[in-house]
Amino acid sequence: MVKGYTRNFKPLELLNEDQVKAIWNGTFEILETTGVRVEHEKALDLFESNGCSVDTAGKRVRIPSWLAEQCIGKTPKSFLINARDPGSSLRMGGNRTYFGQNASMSKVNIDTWEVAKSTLQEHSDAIRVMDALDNLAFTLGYEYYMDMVDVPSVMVMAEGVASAVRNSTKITSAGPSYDAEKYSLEIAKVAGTDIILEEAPSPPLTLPEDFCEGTFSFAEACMPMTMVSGSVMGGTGPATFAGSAASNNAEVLAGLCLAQLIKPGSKILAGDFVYPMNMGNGSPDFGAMGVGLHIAIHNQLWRRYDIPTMSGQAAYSNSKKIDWQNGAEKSLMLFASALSGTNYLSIHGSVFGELTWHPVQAVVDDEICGWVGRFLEGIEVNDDTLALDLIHKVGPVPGHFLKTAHTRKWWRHEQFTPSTFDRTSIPEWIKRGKPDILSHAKQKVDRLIAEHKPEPPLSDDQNKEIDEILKRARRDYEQKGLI
Amino acid sequence: MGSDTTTKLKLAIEEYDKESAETLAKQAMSEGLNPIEVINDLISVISRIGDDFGKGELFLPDLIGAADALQGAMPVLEEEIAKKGLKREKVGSVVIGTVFGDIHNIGKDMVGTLLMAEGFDVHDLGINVTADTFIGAVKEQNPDILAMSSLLTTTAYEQEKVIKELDKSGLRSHIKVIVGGGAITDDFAQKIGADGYEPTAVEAVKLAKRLLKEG
Ligand code: B12
Repeated sequence: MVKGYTRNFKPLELLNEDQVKAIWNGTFEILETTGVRVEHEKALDLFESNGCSVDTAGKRVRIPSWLAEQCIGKTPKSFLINARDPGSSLRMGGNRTYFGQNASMSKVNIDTWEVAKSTLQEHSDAIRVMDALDNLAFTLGYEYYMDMVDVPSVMVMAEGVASAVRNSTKITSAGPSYDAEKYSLEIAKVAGTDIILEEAPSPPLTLPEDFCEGTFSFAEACMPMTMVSGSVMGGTGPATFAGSAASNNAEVLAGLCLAQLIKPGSKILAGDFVYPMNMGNGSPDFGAMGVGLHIAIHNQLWRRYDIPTMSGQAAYSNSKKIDWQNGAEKSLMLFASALSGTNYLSIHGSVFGELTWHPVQAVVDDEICGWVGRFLEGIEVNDDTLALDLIHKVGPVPGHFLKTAHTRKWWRHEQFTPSTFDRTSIPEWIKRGKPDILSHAKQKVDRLIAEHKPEPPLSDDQNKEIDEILKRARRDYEQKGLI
Repeated sequence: MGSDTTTKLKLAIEEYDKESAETLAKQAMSEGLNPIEVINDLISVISRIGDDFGKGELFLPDLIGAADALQGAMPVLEEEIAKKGLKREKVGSVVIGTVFGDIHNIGKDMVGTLLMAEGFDVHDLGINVTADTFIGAVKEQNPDILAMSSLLTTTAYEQEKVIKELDKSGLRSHIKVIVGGGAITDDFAQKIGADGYEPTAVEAVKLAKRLLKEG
């Protein structure tokens, strides 16, 4: 069973109603005045026939506010993403938060902290670990070990999605590049699962060809999409929070409009993937305070229309190791993101930003998710939980609550109990050889890799069909000279 | 150069004021100042800003702002050099671009800007540059260095393609090829036969200078 957490209190809100309106008005003005560059003929035609002003030569589309609002109206406020095992399906929207795997690029060696390429076997082992984690609701098909020694780079997306559906029942995602989204859709169909397309407009204000192609494929197939435009504040977006929220919203909204024009009712998650720029070296500032602030604003803005949100960058760190900085940055960011109402939140496994990844980190992250998830659920207040009768009965010292049925009934439910965080006393801890969180997490990963299998597994026929799709993809790429 | 106008012009660069830089450059030329000396003065300002950036005292918006302001003055000064038939000792010339299929430009722009700040002539072909365009630009500009950036593993092999094309057209021995960007490693650079790789823009400039010295 996949776990989602329901937030039972008001979300964190940083903006007042006037500020929310001002930023949305700004977004509509951007789309209507400057518009977006759309690098796809069919998409240009579609925008034009629906009332946009289109400059075909300059590939520029200006979207009138009335149309943008209409498209928002066609976007579902809540929807189901069906997994091949019903217990792993996701109900997206409202007060619910799901945690899941985070993107990266290469494996990191957790003894030397050096970056290394992974193998397809390690990719699959990692997915099996993800399948077993309690608080992880979705995997990433391809986006964590993208640098594999034994897979040609154009095949990474298709092989990654195949590995994800074979080694987990959980929902996974695909990316649009070199037709990978089409092979991914076929693989998902064989496995009998929905699959999410990670769609990335190019900031500033551009919908590239791959993006449009992917949106057509997935909208037509009625599959969900995340619209995530990853601008960098001060680089590909304004340096201010208000400005970057307005321009990011314009990119996301343009993508959303395209999807709704292709197929009304398309399932969209409005993504946030904005970072401040590290002004010392130009790279995204992964663990920055500003990421948390941006996500909180983003969630509040999209709540105005009740469109589900995702935060792709909600829990990254700048540290190259699984260490204090890493824990602090990931936890703080996750907390800000969850409290402000993200529905689909990526955290598991990324070590340094979206560049390195390790399953041991994912096990540690799962504990943070359990902590934050339980916090989101808040508390129940009723006669039983208020326990006044019991308090009267136990009375003052030497009374205690340990032996009461009430404690046995409630303590587990009220608390979150981590399985790998160290909670021993000092003498116990010394006796056990002074273990730390990493040694616990490593043991758990080793055990899961040795023992865990997805339930139910794919049938032999399904596996064969997927093999055929991969073979065909490889042949197509070879013919195009890409392998 | 103690000229008042030169001092003002240097200040305009320090204040990232492109418009004033252009106006003041025109004024300096109408006052009959030597364009080559003015350029050298301005480059010394940029180099100082580059040093402070390297030390972590100034930041990217400062560096890029100053380089951009310099671009206000440069065309005016270059035009004057051409008009007077003078010749400026150049550090070197570079053609730079992000390879085909890849639109990441922040890192490439940083490398270009820093090279320019250090006195290189930089021709930026932009993003999503095909092998043909790279080869065409090399033929046309005859630069000392070709610099290619790639952040995607799926497009990194484009760099190899360009190097092979250079080989085929007999241009390879006339030019140094340097590569970089997130998808590139030292090993990869060696494998595809590039002359150098560095992981940061600051190191990229040192690499370019080193290669030119080696000749
Ligand atoms: C910003 C960003 C984007 C922006 C780009 C905006 C822009 N105008 O540049 C957008 C959102 C458009 C984008 C799109 C995509 N991106 Co992107 N993106 C990034 C991100 C977050 C930062 C890149 C960056 O600007 N870094 C900062 C600069 C300063 O660093 P740099 O470029 O490496 O440059 C430095 C050095 O490398 C060096 N250098 C650079 N060039 C050169 C050249 C020479 C000659 C030398 C010597 C040195 C040198 O100097 C620079 C300064 O020190 C990276 C992740 C990361 N790296 O952190 C992903 C990343 C590069 N993207 C990635 C992907 C997959 C994509 C997409 C395919 C996503 C998608 N699903 O659609 C698309 C592809 C679009 C395309 N066709 O190119 C992957 C690449 C994985 C891989 N190896 O294949 C990364 C690593 C993220 C990830 N883990 O998934 N992306």
